[in-house]
Formats: sequence, structure tokens, C-alpha cells
Amino acid sequence: MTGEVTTNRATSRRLVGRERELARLEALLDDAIADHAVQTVFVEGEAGVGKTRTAQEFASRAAARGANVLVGRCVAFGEQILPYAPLVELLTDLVRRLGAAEVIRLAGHAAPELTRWIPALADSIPVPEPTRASASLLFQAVSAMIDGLSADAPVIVIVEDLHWADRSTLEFITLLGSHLRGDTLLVFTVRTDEPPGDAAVGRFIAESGRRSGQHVVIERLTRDEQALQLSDILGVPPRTALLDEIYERAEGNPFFAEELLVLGSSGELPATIRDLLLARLEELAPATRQALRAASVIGRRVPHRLLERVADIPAPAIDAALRPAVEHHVLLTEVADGGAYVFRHALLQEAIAGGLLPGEAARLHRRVAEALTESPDLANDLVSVAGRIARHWDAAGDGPRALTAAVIAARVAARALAFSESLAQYERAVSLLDALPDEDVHLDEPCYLVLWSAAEVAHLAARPERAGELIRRAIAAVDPAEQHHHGYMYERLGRYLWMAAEGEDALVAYERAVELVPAEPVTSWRAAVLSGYSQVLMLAGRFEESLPLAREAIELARQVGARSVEGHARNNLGVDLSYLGELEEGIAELRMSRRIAEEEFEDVDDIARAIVNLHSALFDAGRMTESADVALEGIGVVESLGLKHRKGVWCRCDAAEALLHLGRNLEATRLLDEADALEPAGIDAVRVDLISGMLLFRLGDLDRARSRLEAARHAGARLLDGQMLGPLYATLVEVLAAVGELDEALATADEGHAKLHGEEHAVFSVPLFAAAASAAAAAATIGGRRGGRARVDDVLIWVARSEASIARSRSVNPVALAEYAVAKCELTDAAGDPDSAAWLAVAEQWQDLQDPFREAQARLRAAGALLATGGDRTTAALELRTAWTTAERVGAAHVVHLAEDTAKRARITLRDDPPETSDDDPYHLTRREQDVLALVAEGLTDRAIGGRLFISHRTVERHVSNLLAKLGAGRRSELTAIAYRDGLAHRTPAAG
Amino acid sequence: MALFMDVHDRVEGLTAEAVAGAHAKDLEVQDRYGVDYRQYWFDEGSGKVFCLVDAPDAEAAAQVHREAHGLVADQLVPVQEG
Repeated sequence: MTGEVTTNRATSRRLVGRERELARLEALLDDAIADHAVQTVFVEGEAGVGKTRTAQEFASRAAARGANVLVGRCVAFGEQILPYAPLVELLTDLVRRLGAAEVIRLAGHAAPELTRWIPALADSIPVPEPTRASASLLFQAVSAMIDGLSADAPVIVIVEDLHWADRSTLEFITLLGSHLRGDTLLVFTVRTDEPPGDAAVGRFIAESGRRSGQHVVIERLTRDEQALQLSDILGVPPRTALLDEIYERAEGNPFFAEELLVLGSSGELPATIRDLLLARLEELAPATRQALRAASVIGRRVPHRLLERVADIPAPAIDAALRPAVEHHVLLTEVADGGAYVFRHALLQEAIAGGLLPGEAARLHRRVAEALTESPDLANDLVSVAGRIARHWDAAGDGPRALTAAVIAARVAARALAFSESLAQYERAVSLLDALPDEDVHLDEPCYLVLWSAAEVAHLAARPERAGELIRRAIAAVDPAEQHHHGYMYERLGRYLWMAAEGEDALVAYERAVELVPAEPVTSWRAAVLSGYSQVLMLAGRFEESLPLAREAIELARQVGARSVEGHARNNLGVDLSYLGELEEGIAELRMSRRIAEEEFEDVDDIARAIVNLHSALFDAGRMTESADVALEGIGVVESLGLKHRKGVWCRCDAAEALLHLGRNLEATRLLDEADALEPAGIDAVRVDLISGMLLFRLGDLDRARSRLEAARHAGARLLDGQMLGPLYATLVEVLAAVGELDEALATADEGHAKLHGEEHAVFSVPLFAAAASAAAAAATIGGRRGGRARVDDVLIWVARSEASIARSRSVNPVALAEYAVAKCELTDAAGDPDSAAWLAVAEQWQDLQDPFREAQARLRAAGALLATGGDRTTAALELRTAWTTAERVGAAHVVHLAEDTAKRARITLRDDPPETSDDDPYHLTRREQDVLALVAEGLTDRAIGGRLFISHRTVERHVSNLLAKLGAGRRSELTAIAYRDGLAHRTPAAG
Repeated sequence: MALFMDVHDRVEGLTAEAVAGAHAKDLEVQDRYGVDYRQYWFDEGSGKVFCLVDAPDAEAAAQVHREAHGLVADQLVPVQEG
């Protein structure tokens, strides 16, 4: 095999094979461009099979078509923890290409956050203090930058070696995948022949991959392809014997084949790639091997000046030692940043590092740590250098220095918002603290502060249990004379315990915190502790106790100018007030707390919390339109804050629930489809099933409604939350009654009643009791003489339960009152004495509440009562028609069917009006709706339209929501667009 | 000197570029053996290659191939120019 390598090449110039894979990648890029969407694709395969090569080939072809290619590599976990390594690399490269000013311009308002990753930018913009909003801002900066680039040309983001990604990077790219504007393809290369460093990687691939369904698997080359590869490297076709030999061992793995070719001259060929690589090293001179061993300790990328220091070989000698490594294609050279060597493939570095003797490794790691501590700029990467130093001291077995370095690295990682990595460094520090004697601990702050920081980082990394353990250790280590710290750490403990679903223990911790933090002189510590305590009391539904604490916290926060604490406390106060009957005041507080949270922008959760709480308060007060508006706005806000997965499903359900009450069923359907697409889990999934079931019931799709509600009942079997249980059981009972399974409906009502413990707020319980009363009344009516009496008693029981529940609640919302009125009507119906006037009054109540579905149901029942009691047929016909058109308008198929059925039996014609719409009106708008639409298109507000047409603005609102539904528009502005497009806006409004 | 047509039944990894590379190597080596590789034809799909060579004898022609790149022809057929 002598003399086979006759060129200076170890790698083929052109990519062999892979045309099918490249075509798939190009098709995905085309899709991303055509749909203005973000596509995600995983390029998978074993080590050395050519994932990077394929991605590079694709990138250079795409770049030739004008695409912008950004590349970042993950760094081996076993080598060191480099938080956000691929993103830092990609951004650093972008700064190099576009210049700092352009990158800052693209990143927009959040640009200063980029200094966390690219210290070089700090020359151009100030470094901001980290807050709990920093992660969100940093994300905004990066996504704004990519969106800015993709506005001009398609963008391809390549993240190499995803199997070595850290958790922070994974979270970041998950967000990118769902938030980027479009025209963007995210490409991840992943090794599949060994498990990833972090199990989270596997989950990420499984989840994103399932969603996108995009995996491009790079298979081994066929014999023909491998022949072409060799032919390209050698410049001549390979001899059959050579091809046989290489193909037999490399089995189509291109990197293996390249290495075999380079090894060439040695007779015996090794069987595994690791043996092969080590055999390759044996070929090299001892000095070269020594230099390579030192390099392998530094990493895959080895800055020349650092290697000089570590290898302990003088300058001319080290060049001589390294030259053969470059000539034999072990190392590649880079000229950027003062010169560096890069192992040609990660496998080479792994093989060399794996062959080090323990003492040798420790000695080399110590040298690297010393060199980097002395001159951090040797690393060429200032962000990660602290982590590198810590890891090298650790590997060198120097406990005291490893401890100090780990704490520094943890702080640096936290500043870069890499909380999982920061926690990993803190955990290392904590275990060293346990192991080292006191005289070996050299820290710049008391031990308890380190533990406290560790706890806070665990909290931010969404590990509340661990945060609780760490803060307990901090509390044990603090001198109680540090009263404020001591007390405030109990507040933190309370918060972590609440997050860990340990409600009782959390309250105990807060009590202790209030006890320990001195009331005088007034401090922000004191204000924060009181506000925190009021929050958990509020969450536990203890509004009366929470309220005075919230007020006191606000007062103290104002005294010391702690505005974020003030906002936090006002949020608690707002909820307390709303549920204690002071709705207007509560809403004002919630709005103010949101404003403060947005102004301060310290903790994004506070903004989301203000929105969610404001929605609940409005919704439970029956103010559906406002509550829908808040929830719809909230969807956009939480997404812009990077909370799509944590809060996006919940906000969509909030909005859909309000919209379905308003009869805006098309909008609700769209939101629930979106919520389903986010693949919710846990309580989020239960809520999506629940709201979907409610919507499907109202649309008359009873079978599907039933199966989604049953799914919610099954998955939420251990729920204790009345806000979910109440509507779940209420709707399930209604669905079962509607399909005629009355016994099942009544049994389900009993189950729901038991679950609610009879102590829930009327807003959650009365709808269930009213649904049960309706089911019992239906059973009584069908039951005839046999058992009829007993059934009427059943109805009475449910009416009495409703009444008791209302009497128990300090404030009762109008929805609960309307439901209660329904239950009473059911009782008179069941007793054989239908009261049409009462049903009409109920219909009016629902109309005022802007719930067209319930209004239609009640009008239908009013008509039925009139017909049954021989009342005024004209009124009955009118009510029936109104019920029918209303139900038809909101797509309530079941109610439409019932109305038609009643009309047929009573010989009432539903369509006796001359058609109001002409043929050129495909939307079947009423004349009134046409008038309103024309004025909407003129840009008038509801109030102004009401003034023009002599109707109330509430009525206008109703017409507008009908128009939205009929025209399939999502927003008012869309209405205008459609009106002009279809010539509906030119009609002159009718007089009156 | 005699004309031969050599036939490679199936050269694996055959590309236009690689066969040109191989021919170039023949040209580097051939003078030492008094051989003249004049022309070649190939088909990438089947891997077939035909070389027209002017050589003192069949063995000299084969030796040039062997030394240049190691791809020795499967058949070497004496031919005459028509």
C-alpha cells in the first residue's frame, strides 16, 4: 500500500453521493422561503459519516443562491461546559462579518444584552445589569437579528454536534424554532452512534423532530460511492485490492476511509477507528506526539500561544514538532485570532485524550489552568474561559483552586444567563465545600452567600426542589445576626416550596420570614417579604388575609422606592379585591401592576402574571369582551417575552373560553387549533381538552365534545382546581343530557358535586348545578308518571344547592346568577308549569352578558313554554325565530336542530321574511349588519356607530362580532379590508 | 513497436477526472519503457476503459500502468490501424 497518497489531500474535494440528502435539504429551504416559515431539520448519522460535510455542501450551494449562512458548533460535554457555545460562535462570526454597528442595529432595543456573549461589543454599548428579564431580552436580541437578516435573504442556521449541546442552548434554539419570523432553516447535525451528553438533547430531538418530521439520515457510503471518494482523493481510480481493503474496514464510513488512506504505509490495518487513530499517532515522532497530547487536553480547537505554554517546548522546537501533525492531517491550521490548530475531526482529539495516563493528564490540566488564569486572553474566548479554568483545575485534582474557579465560573455562566450550566458549576463548588477542610476554602464572600446564589440559580433553572435544599443549607450556614439576609432567605424558601407544589410548607416558611425580617427601619427586604407572603395567601384563595399584607407591602415599597416590589404587591391586591367583590378597584390595581412590571422589566413572569390575573378577574366577573381582549393581547405579549411554551397554551385557552361565551366560535376554534399544535402536557393539556369540549358542545358536535371532555376528566382525575372542575363537569353533564343519556348525566353531576367539595366559589359550582337541574328536569319530563315525582325532587335539590352556593360566596358574578335563573326555570318546567316569562327574562340576562348561545337556548325554551301552555303564538314564533337565527349565526348546530324541530311540530315557519340579502352578498348579512360594516369600514368606533344608528354600543359590539364570524375575520381591520375588497363598504347606511 | 488496445472491464470509482489523472501518470512513466499511451475511451456508468497504446510489447504496456497507478488492464489485444 505504499505511495497511495500522492496528493496533499486527505479529504475528497467534492462531496461523494449525498445528492438525495442535499435535495431534501434544499427542498426544506425552498419550503421555508415559499411559506415564509421556519423549518427545522436534523442531519443525523454516526461519527465520521459526513454530517458536517453534507451540511457544509448544502450551505455553500445555498450561499451561492444568496442565502445567509450562520454556523456554530457545540463543544464536547466531557471536555468542558461551554454554555451557549454554538450561539456565541455564530454571533462572534457575524460581528466579524457585518461589524459591531450593524449587529447592534439588527438586534434592536435589546442589543445591549448581546454583550453577555460577545464582550467585544461592550466597546460600542454599555453592559446592562442582569435581571430575570435578561434571558427574554437576550432572546429578543438574537431573534430580532436573525429576523432582520432573513428579511433581506433566506437564513440558514447550522448548529453542529447538537449531541453535545448544553441545556441553555437547547432552550434557546427551541424558542428560535417557534419564534423566528420565517424564511429560515435551522439545521442541526447530530451523532447517532452514541447517547448524547445530556438526556435533554434526546428529548429535544424527539419533540422538535416529531413536530417537524424532518430527519435527514446520512447513511454509510455504498462500495461504489466509497470508490468514488477514494478516486477523488487519490486523483486516480483506486486499485481493486486497495478498495477491497479499505471498504472492508471502513464499511462506507468516509472519515474512517480517509484515515486509512493517510495511514497507508503501515502494513497491518487496525479494526476499529480508535485503534486506527492511535496507530496513526504511533507513526509520528515522540516530540510530535507529546505536543498532540498537550493539545488534546486543551480541546478540539487549540490556540497556538496557549499550546506553547502548556506543551513546555520552546518556540522553534514546537513548530518543528507540530509540522508533521499538520502534514499528516491530524491538525488543521487557522490564522484567525493569533493562530490556532484544530483537530481535523473530533474523533482524533477524543482518541488522543483518551490515551493519556492519569498523572500526565493531571499535570497537563494544571498547566492549562495556570496559563489561562495568568493570561485569560490565551483562550480566545473570554466568555467561556472561567468555565475552562474551573474544569482544568478540577481535572488537575486541585480542590481549593477548583472551588474558587467553580464559583467564578458559576457567576460568569449566570451572567450569561446559562442557568443550568451555572448550577452545574455551583454543584461542583458545593461538593468541594463539603470535601475540603476550612483552611482550604478561599472564597471572596461568606459560604452562605454562595449557597444562596446557588439556590437562586437552581430556581431560575426550573429546579425548585434543589433550590429549596440549597437555600436550607444557606440558612443553616448564616449567622442569625444578619437579620435581613436570614429572614429574606426564608422568603426565598417559601417561594421555591410553592413552585415545588409544597403549599403548606411554603406558608410556614413565609410566616418565619415575616417574623425574622425587622419591621424597623423600613427596608425593601421587609416589603418584598410581605408581598411574597400575600401572594401565596392569594394563590391559596385566602383573599381576606392576603389583602392587608399586600396593602402594607405597597406602602413600604413606596417609602423605600422599591417599584418592582410595589408592582408585585399590587398584582396580589388586585386579585384579592376582585374576588372580594371590589372588581373595579381590583382591575385598576392589576392594570397598574402590569404597567409597573413593563416599565421596570425586571421579571417577565410579573408581566405574564398581571395579564393572566386580569383576564381571570374580568372573566369571572362576566365581562367577557374585555376578558377576551386581555387574553388575546396576552398571547402576543407572552410570546414576545419568550414564554410561548410556558404560558402560550394557557393564554390561548383563556382567550378561547371568553370567545366561545361571546359566540366568536371561529376565533375560538383557531386558537384551540394553535394550542393543540403546541402539544401541551400536564395541566395545560387538560385545559385544552376542556375548552375544546366546551366549544364543540356549543357547536353541536356532541360526539367529539364528549370524547375531549372524557379525556380531560381522565387526565385531570387528581385536579383540585374548581376553575377547571366546575366547567368540566358542567359541560360533560350538558353533553350527556343532549345525547339523551340522562342517567349517566345525573351520575356525572353527582361525581362533579363530590369533587367540588361543595365549597367552591359560585362562579365555578353553579353552572354544574344548573346543568344537573336541566338533566333532572329532562328526566322528569320523559319519565311521565312513573318516577316523575322523584325526578322533580332531584331538580329541587340542584336548585337548592345553587342557591346555597350563591349565598356562601361574598361576590356573585352575573353568569352564576343567570345559570341559577335557568335552574329555577327548569324546576317550574319539571313541575309541569312552564313559565315563559321567566325563560324570557333569562334570555334577556344572557343577552346582556353577550352570550348568544345561552340566549338562543333560553329563547327556544321560552317559545316551548308558550306553545306548551297555549300562550301567544306570535310571540312564540318570534322567539323561536330569534333563537334559530342566533343559533345559526354562531354555528350552534344542535340548538338550530332543536329549533327547527320545535318549529315543525308547532307548524311555525322560520323563514317568512323576504330575503334581506341580494345575490351579490355571499355573506348573508342582515341589513343592520351591512350598515354597521359600512361604518366600521369608515373607521368609526362602536360608540360612534351606535350614535349614528341610534342603537347602544353594546348592540354594535354584538353586530361587529357577528360580522367577524360571518366574514371569517380575526380582527376589525380585516373586516374593513374584506368590506372594501367585496364592495360591501359602499352601501349607504339605511336611515334609522 | 506494436499497437495494442487494452481493456479495463470495470474500474471502480471511475470519473472523467480520475481517468484523466491516471492517464497523466501513464505519460509521466511511459518514456522509461518506450511506451506511448496515445488515447483512451471510457464509460462512467459501466466503469469500462479502453486505452490505445503503442508499445514494444504487451508486458511493457502493462508495466507502465502498474507503476503509474496500479490499474492493470484485464485484456491487452494487439490491433492494427484500419
